[in-house]
Amino acid sequence: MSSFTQYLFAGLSNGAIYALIAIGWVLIFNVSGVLNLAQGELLMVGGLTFAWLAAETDMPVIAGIVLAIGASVGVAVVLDVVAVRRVKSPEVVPVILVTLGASFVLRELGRIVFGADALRHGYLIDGDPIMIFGAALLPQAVLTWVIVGVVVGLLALFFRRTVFGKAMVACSDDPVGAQASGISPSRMRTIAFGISGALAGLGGVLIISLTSLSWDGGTMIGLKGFIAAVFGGLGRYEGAVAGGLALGMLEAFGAGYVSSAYKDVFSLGLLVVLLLLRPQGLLGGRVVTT
Amino acid sequence: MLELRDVTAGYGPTEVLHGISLTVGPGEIVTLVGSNGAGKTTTLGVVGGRVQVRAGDVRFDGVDLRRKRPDQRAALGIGQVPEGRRLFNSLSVRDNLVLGGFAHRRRRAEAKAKLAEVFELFPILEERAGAEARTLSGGEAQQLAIGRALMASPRLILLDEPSLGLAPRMVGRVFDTLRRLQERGVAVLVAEQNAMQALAVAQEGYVLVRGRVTMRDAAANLRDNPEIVSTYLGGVAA
Repeated sequence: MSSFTQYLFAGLSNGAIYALIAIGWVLIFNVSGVLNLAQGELLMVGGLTFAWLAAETDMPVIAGIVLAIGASVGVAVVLDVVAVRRVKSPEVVPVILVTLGASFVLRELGRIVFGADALRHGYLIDGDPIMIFGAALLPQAVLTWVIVGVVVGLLALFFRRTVFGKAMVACSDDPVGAQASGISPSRMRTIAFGISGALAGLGGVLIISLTSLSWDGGTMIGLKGFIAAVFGGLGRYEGAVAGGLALGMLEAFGAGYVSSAYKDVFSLGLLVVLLLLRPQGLLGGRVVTT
Repeated sequence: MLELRDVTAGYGPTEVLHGISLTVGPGEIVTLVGSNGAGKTTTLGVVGGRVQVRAGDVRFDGVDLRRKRPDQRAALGIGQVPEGRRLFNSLSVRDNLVLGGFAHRRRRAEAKAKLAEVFELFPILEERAGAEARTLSGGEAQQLAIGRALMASPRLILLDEPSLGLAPRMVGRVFDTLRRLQERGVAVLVAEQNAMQALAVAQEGYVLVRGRVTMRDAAANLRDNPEIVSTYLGGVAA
C-alpha cells in the first residue's frame, strides 16, 4: 500500500506539471492551429532562469519566480512576433517547422547562457514529509498541486468570464467569423503564445524545484506535455489536465512496478499507440493533420 | 460611402473579378444579382477583406481599404454576415453578441445598452441568450449573425446569401430586418440568390456576369426588366 501511495504522489506531481505544459500546447493549437515545438524550451528558459537567479543573486524567491516566468513569456512572444508571424504561407507545416528551428536555437542559447551542467533549485517550501498510508508526501508536492490547481482554475475563469478569453475561444471556433467581428487572430495568437510561455515558465520553476534540469532537459518534458495533450484529446483543456495527470501516473507506476529505466518508454510508447489507435484522444478532440 | 473602382481580384491563379465598379451610399440598400460563380461573394470578400485586391481602388468614407485587415475594417464600421454565418458555436448567444462589439472595447453600461438594442430587434435572441449558438435553428442563427454584426454599430453591413437554408416565412423576416436596419441609417450590400425579394427592399441593383458588372439600375427597374427577370429572377416581371 505504501509503495502504491508513493507512486501515486510522484505521478500526481509530475502529472500536474505535464498538465501545465499540455494546456500550453492546446492553447496555441486552438487559437492558431499551430503546434509550438519549442514548448519544452520555454520551460527550460523559465526553470534555468529561476535557478540561475537564485544562485547568482540575493533576489527574493518570489521575484525570481516572476522574472523566470517573465523570461519565458518574453521568449514566447518574441518567437511569435519575430518568427511565426512572418510566415506568409497559409499552411500550418511551415509555421511548425519555424518553431522546431526555434527550439534548436533556444537549446543552444540555453547551453551558452546557463552552461552545460544541470541546475537545481531547492524545494520552494521546506518541512517534514507528511506520512499517508506509509508513504511520504513532501510539502513541495502539495505546493505543486495547489499552484497547478489554482492556475488551471484561473485559466478556466479567463476563458469563461473575460471578453479576451472568449475572443480566444471565438478564434478557435471560427477564425473567419472572429476576424469579421473585429477580433485579430494574429493578436490572439500572440496572447496565446504569451500565456503558453507563462505556463511553461511556471512548469520550469516547479520542475527545477523538484529535480535537476539542464539546457536540453526541456525537450523531453515538452514532448510529454504534447503526449498528455493528445492523450486527453488535442484541443480540449480539461483533456490536457486529465491527460497530464494520467501520463504522470502511468510513468510513476510503470517506473515503480516495472523499472525506472523504462519511464520514457511508457510515455513515448503511449504516443505511438494513441496515434495508431485513437488519434482523437480519450475525450475526443481534433486530429492533427497536415 | 463605399466605392469600388475598376477592382480586379481572385483566388490564387484564378481571377474572378475583372474590373468591377460600384458604390453604396449612406443608408442605402444595394443588391448584387447574378448566377452562381458570377462574383457576388468575391465582391463582398473584397470589401470585407477576405479577398486580396489585385488592381483598382476600394474606399470606405475615403479610407483606402486595400491594406486593412478584416478586423480593422470592422473597427472602421463595416459589419459582416458571412456566408455560412460563421458563428462561435461553443459560446452562448449572449457571448456571440458581446464579441460582435469587440473592436469597440465598450464600457459595461454601453455594451449592455447595445445588447438591449439588438434584443429589441431580435427578441428571440434574448429568449435564447444563454443557449449555445450551435443549438439555434437556421432562422435564429441568421438573426444572431446579423445581430452580432450590429453590435459593432456598423455604418455598412455586408450580407452574403442571408436567406440560404431558411424557411420562406423566415426569409421574409430577414428582408424585413434589412428595411429596419435602413431606418436606423445602416447601409447594406447584399448578395442574394433570392434576387426578387432582395431587389424588393433595395434601392439599387448591380447585375454581375462572370466577374463583370453588366447592368446597374434602380432596383425597381431591374425587377421590371423582362430580360433580368427571366435570366436571374426566375419568374415573371412584377
